[in-house]
Formats: sequence, C-alpha cells, structure tokens
Amino acid sequence: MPRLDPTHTGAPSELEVIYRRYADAVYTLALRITGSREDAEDVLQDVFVALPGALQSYREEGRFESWLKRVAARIALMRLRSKNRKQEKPLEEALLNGASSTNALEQIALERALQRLPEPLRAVFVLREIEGFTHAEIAELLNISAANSATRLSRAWAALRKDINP
Amino acid sequence: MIHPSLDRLRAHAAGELPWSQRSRVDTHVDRCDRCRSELDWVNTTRNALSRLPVHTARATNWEVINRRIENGDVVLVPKPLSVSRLVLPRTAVAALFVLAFAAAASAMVGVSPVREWIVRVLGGSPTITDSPAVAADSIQHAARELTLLVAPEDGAITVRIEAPGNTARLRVRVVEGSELEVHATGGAAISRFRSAAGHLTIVRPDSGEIVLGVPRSVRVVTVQADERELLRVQNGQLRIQVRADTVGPEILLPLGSIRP
Repeated sequence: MPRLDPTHTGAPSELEVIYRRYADAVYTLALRITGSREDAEDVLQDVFVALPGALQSYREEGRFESWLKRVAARIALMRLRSKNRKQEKPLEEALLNGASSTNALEQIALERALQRLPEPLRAVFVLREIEGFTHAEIAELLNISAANSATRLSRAWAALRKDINP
Repeated sequence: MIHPSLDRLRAHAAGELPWSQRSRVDTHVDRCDRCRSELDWVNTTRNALSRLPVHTARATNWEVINRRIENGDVVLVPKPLSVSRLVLPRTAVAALFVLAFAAAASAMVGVSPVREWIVRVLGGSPTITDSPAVAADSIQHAARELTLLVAPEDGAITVRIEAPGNTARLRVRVVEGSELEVHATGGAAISRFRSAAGHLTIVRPDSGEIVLGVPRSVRVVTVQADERELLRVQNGQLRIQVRADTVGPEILLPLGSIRP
C-alpha cells in the first residue's frame, strides 16, 4: 500500500509516484463516465487532491488500483450529479489521442456509441463491462439495488446494439 | 421458435449462465443464424471493449493538483449512503407489503419460514414446530445481513444456489436444533431467497458469504449449485463432491470455483 505523508514536500513525492502510475487509468475511467474531457480532468485533479485524506480510510484489502478506481468513480458520479458540470464537448480529439492505429476506427465508433448512451445506463455499462466492477459494487456507488444495476446493464446493451447496428 | 434475448446472449458470452441454460442457448444458436449472428456481435463487442485504449491525461493536471494542494484545497470523497438510508426510503412501501403478505400467509398456515424470519428480525424467539408448512416466499432482501430458518420436509432439506458469483462463498457447519439456519452477509444478503418447507433457493449470490447451519436432527441435507450437487449430509455422513477447505468445524466452499 502506498503511504503518504501529507507534510512531505520532497520530489518525487509518494503522491507523484502514484499519480504517474495511475493518472491515465483514473482519467480514462472519468472520461468514460462523464463523457467530457474537462469534467474528466476535474475528476482526476479532485481524486489526487483528495488522496492524502482518503488514504487514511484505505484498509489494504484488495488491489490498490481497484480501491483508487472506486474513489475515482465516486467522484466522477458526484460530478455527474453536480450542477456545476462543464459544457460537454465532442470527444473526438480525446478519443483519437488514445486509439491505437490498427483498431482506431472500431474503437472510436464504440467509444462514440458509449457516449451516446443515456448517463444512467452508461455509468453502469462502463463500470461493469470495462472496469469489471460487480453489480453489488455498482449498486453501492450509484445508490441503487444490484438488480437495478443488472437491469440497466441489459438496457445499455440493447441501446448499444440498436445504435451500432440499427 | 423462442429466441434468447440479447441479455441472455450477453450472459452466455460472459459465462454467467448456469450450465443447463448455457447448453440450451448453445443448442439454439447452433441452428439459428439470427441468434448466432447476435452472439457473434456480443462477442466482438466484448472483445473490442477489452481492447479500448487508456487515454493519456495532460501533464498540466499534475501542476494544477500541486497548486491546489499548496493552496490548502480540500476534496472529500463522497461516502456511500448507509444501508438504512439507502434502503428504507425506496423500499418502505414494498417492505410493508411483503411483511403484510407474510403475516397473512403465516396466519393461514401452521409454520412459515417467512414468519420465522420476521420473528427473528423483530427480536422475538422463533417458534419451532415439527409440522412442516407449505408457505413459499420470495424476498428481495436489501439488508447486508440476513438470517432465516428452513424447516425440513419429511426429514430432508434441499438447498439450491443459482448463478453464484465468482467471489461468493459457502460455509457449512453443524448446529443443534431442528431447522436449517441460513445466515447471509455482504452481497449474498441481497440475493433473492425463495424458501418453503424442505426447500431453499438462493438466486445470484454475487459476493459475500452464505453460512448454512445444518441441524444434526435433519436426516438428509443436499446442497446444489446450478444443479450440481456440492455436498450431502445423510444420516450423519458427509459427502463432498467438490474441492473444499475444512476450517475448524466448518467446510468452506468458494462458489465461483465450482461454476462450469
């Protein structure tokens, strides 16, 4: 488990080590949940500003990355519900930056289709199918039941099917 | 011809279907072009999802984070709502309905597993009787812990676990008494439970633990997962059909490992 000394100001700090290792994963999760690069950057920053305090509740159960992603998901979902969301902008640039050359078109088409999913369905779909959360974990994050999470996943697949191949 | 739904095909592709349903889907897909095409699409999409790239965060974010920390900016991570806050407002009406139904059912029959559960939850002492009842119930539990009792029928109890998740665990121990004690925690507590005299079905325990307290007095107890027999206690003899750990006086089975 990474241990942070909040008063530590030397370089590279423990926080920076964690940032270098996990920033992209946190940013990608936030980008897919919020659908906005600006919101995703805000989430990324919030996660790492919150991290020194949040780590005090980390119990070393399971993988650190999974715990960090749950923290990121909570903050991203809070932003989704927030009234201070920034205007959504097309993800083209962000998606093109991340797409590999061989499957770029397929990946962009899929990411675009994901972004067109209604937010409640998209959050469940991203958390379950891409990030590998269980329905119980999603239920806790979204304050819904596990059964509701499964229903939303089913609807998300149906919507995706309709969108990709109408 | 009844075609499997997209969700069923997705569950099939994800390996979430129990063996019997899985083979039914396989049989159908073998002779149905439309469903084979749908299943191919699901598999292709799942593949593509697993290969989606990780996006790179701009380097300037680290500078902003440092500046915010230096300025004493504080961000609190939102905590999940407590179970009571989460559950009560949304399910109060449904819970009252279930309780009212259970109470009515209990009044009509001699003994009901639901009534035993209610009595236990409400803090009373459960009524134990030798006469088995035929009162089925189906409860979607929202609490993180659940305890219920299942009365035997003709001295036998069958426990069926449907579609267990990868991290769910089953713990079996021998207890005194005349009824099967079932205690579920974590994700298992929000599974669907159907019980009647001699029978208990637990649907989709995603995670968490199910503890079965098997009474010495019951003649036969059979535990199955997705129609596969895991263990059987018969006249004091224990037969385990899968790999299991013995922890003190208990048997511990990771349910995910027995899935086909």
